[in-house]
Amino acid sequence: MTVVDPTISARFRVSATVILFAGLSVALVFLAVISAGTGQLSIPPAEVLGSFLHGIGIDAGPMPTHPSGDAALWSIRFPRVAMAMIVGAALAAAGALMQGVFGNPLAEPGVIGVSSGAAVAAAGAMVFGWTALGTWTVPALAFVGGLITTVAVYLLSRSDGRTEVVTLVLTGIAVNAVTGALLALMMFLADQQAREEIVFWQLGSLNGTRWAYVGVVAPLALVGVVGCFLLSRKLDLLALGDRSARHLGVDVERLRITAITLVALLTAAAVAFCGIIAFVGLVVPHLMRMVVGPGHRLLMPASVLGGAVLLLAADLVARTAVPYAELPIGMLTSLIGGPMFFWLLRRTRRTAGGWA
Amino acid sequence: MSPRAALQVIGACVEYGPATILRDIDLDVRPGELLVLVGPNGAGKSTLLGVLAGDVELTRGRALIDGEPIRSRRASELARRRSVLLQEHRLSFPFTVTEVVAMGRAPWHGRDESDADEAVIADAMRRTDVEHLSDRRFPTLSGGEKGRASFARVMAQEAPIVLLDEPTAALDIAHQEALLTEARRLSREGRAVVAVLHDLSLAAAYADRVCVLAGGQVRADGSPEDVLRPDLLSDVYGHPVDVFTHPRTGDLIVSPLRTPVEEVAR
Repeated sequence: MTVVDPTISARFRVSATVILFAGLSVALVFLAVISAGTGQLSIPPAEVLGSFLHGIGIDAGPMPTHPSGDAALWSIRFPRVAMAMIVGAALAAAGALMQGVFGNPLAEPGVIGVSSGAAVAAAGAMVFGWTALGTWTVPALAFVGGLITTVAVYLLSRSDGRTEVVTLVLTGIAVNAVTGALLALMMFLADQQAREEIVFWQLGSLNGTRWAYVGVVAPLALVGVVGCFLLSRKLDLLALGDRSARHLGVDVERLRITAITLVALLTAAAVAFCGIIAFVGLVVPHLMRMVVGPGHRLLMPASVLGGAVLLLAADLVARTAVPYAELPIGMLTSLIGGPMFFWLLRRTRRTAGGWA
Repeated sequence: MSPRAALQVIGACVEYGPATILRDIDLDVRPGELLVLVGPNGAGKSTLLGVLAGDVELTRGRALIDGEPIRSRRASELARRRSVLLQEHRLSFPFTVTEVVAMGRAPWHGRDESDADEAVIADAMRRTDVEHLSDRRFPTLSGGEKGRASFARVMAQEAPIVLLDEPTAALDIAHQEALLTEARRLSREGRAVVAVLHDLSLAAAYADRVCVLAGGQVRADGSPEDVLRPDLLSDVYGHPVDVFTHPRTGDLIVSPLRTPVEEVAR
């Protein structure tokens, strides 16, 4: 058995946390500028910054020299960059929240099928052409789908106040099987165009992001993330188990209901326009926990920032790895996240001395 | 004569389906007193502690805290009235020992009492001898160390009612004595302390009052001298038990009578 840094000093933890937050903030700005300037029409970083500053009313920096540069940035690149950050933040927050509530570091919206549950409901809108709520139709349905799946997983996978790894993973397989079948049914029912739409959207992509979409996703994600911050203190106590958390004054039932609703909200925000982007909620909180420790008051903001950085980077790779083609971002995150999940699973098994 | 009860259980019954776990329990828990619950496995000790903590719903009867039904009180209010140490010391994520002890201060968050957080946490860790473990991750501790760290968390909660479920399990002799000395000190500060113990000599040494449970019922309730009698204990545990006084200290010693190996073999 290996014991990982049992005597990591508090001072090291503090300075590492400061470096982490500073580093992630710098990386976020850097990646945003690079990402916005990269594409078929290449725009230098200084001009990207200049265009952005002019756009928000500050007369500083050079404007893009290319005649359609400014327009390309504001109509295509900036909304996409914003969406990548928001979706990454939402997914990472949802993952951290779910892990806290399930008391299990392997819980994640993609792994246990919440994302695909949201996707099924959202696909319904595409197939049947529902538009009752305008741009909000798809996110609203995704929320309902996500909520139903989260509640189902929660009820199915918990026993005696916690979720064992085996139960969680097996429940995920079962839920993903059902939602996979429902998605297949949707595609079967769909016409040619809707079918293609669903296929690409299922792979996850930020392609074609418009400000209107950002306007829908941003408030949902904001509410979700703020909710996560407010629950942080209670999530820490929940690590002691349901009973001890209650003895310390946590209304455990209410906390669970709130948390499940927030997970569904955040997942819906992420899935609504960008499809299924799995494993962000698994990888990011895990990496952040290694630096800032398990306390949610630091873990949540670190995960939000880390998720934004990760998805921004992943989107940049997705757009540039293959010339004149765009890789589905969901495929990329799964390619990295899948093996990482496996490694985590092995590690959890080793430290728990079995599939506990 | 006796001060008002902090916790009161009146005619309490707990049934899970056809199984009766507790039957017609009457029990008062008073401030300034260390009450020890003893009894064989499956006697209902932990369930009774759960009733006192407000975790277990009664099938019949009442459980009151400060004269009000426990389960009608909000979790946050209860947390400032009573603290609970469970048998299991589980933690889903690798918090450090200091972080775990600090969780005991959660009920006081945002109140004047939280000004004392650091001092209270340091004091609790000193009294439970876990200071040297402060930066260790809780899941890497040994069973006894976990028990002490959890007890430190319970002490940090500074509740007037303290409920301890087998607090000495997995502790070495020195730490058992130290923990019960602390439990008694807490009662002398005017708190009501209830502890489930298996070691009857420990119970005799530290308890103000001993309550013997068997088969879900109270078999005896009184001072250690009155309750810890050979006939009663032999009957309750289904094993011959002797009680005598230590020749030098005069403490009550409870000891099971052992059959020599040769006789068992025959």
